[in-house]
Amino acid sequence: MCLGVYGKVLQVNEDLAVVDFGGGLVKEALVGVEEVKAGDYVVVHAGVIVSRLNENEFAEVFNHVSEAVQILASSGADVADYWQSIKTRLAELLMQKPTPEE
Amino acid sequence: MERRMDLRRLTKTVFRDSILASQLAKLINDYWRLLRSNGVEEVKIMNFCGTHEYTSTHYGIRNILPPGVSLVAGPGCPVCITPSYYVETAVGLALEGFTVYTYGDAYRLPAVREVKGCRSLSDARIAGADVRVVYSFLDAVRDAASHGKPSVFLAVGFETTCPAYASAIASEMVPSNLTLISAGRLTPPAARYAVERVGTVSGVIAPGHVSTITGAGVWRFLPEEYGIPTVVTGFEPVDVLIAVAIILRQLAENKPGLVVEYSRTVTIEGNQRAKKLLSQVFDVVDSAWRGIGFIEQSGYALQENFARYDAVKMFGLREPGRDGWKNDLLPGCICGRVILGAAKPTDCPLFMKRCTPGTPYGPCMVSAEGACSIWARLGGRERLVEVV
Ligand code: SF4
Repeated sequence: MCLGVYGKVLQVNEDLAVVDFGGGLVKEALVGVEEVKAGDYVVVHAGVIVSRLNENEFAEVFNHVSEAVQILASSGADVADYWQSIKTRLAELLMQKPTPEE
Repeated sequence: MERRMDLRRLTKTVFRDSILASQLAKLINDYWRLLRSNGVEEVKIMNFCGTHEYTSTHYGIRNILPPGVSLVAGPGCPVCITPSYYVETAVGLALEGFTVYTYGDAYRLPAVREVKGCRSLSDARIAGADVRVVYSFLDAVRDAASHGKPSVFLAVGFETTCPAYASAIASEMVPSNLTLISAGRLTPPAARYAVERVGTVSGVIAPGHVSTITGAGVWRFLPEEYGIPTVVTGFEPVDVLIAVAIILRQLAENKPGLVVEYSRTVTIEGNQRAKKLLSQVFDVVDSAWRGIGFIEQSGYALQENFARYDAVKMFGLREPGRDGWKNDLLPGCICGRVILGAAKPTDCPLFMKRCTPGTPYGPCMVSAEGACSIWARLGGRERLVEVV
């Protein structure tokens, strides 16, 4: 029950929001966070919006990986190859074209 | 940042990418070599969340980790740890004519003692009782209001689920014919219990969606008091691999800390609105965990001024007392050890013999987040590697 499903808010009426989960599934959810508006991406758990998705953070998590790689490199490990591969791949993925849904 | 694609799709694209996963596996292996050269022989990483257990098993993550690095399950499945007593109470009320609501996961949860020949709510329904499975508490509120019959909700769940009860109660949406068996539980006290009792946990993958409510800050005690690297992690395979890499790095550097890997939706402070509602409606009390026993300050009890929503108080039922609590597992079931990371599901002699997803014998075989159910459906360690 830690399961959370990502959805996109279509409409908000006070404490109730209409959320699109993709694949044609649209359901009502209780608004459990402050200031949710149409267009927001949210995490829904058991019919309640428990949090919002923050787009700016998507690539940030790879900073932890970058730090880890640097520390390994300073200990003499040869990490150049896979670090380059992670960076290139991430850039490719993040720059993909918008989907028709947008 | 200019929006480039649907965030749901972006998550799948980035955090399920096989190339990233294979490169992260190499990073993990390099850290493991470093740890080995420092004399470390084993690293045991505990996840607290059934959904992390699912990710690790479904994507075959155990297969790409170095042999000395193991991922073990923790007490993070709310259905698995719901005391048998509450199931028996709900079954009893259903057979007395109450309409009983619960989530699909708890519907087939077996009790230790049979009530009039029924061991679960599903048995009670077969026996003619009015048991209704709902997707959300709101669905039960609406349904109970529409028929007006005496009704009870078997309200299981962790911090993620309990704000729904608190919100409906605080806003007076709950009709007078609907009461709750309040079986909500808090995860940090169970995490403390597990690392104290199991003793060999080297790192913790902390729950992602629980932390959207509580805030990641509640996990600080793990690195600060126990020296255990702790990462609040998302639920995709790349999330879990990044968490393992961070934990190994902290172990190699001997600098345990708290990292929020799941920063795309988790903050340090958490969801203030939900936390406020929880504290307005519930008191935090010592509570029983199935297969484990009582854990201090680990359960949500309805406050006195909401007693009219409390099925236990309204119908003169008893709460399981500390003295009366006995290991509430059926003979042979080792769920208590499975959820403390002390045994694997395959260590249980009943696994896939007497106990299967079709005919669950113990509580960990019922919920989609139960470790035994996940291993049974997805093959545990034997699963072929999907991500690399
Ligand atoms: S396999 Fe079944 S009986 Fe054995 S520990 Fe798991 S749930 Fe309990």
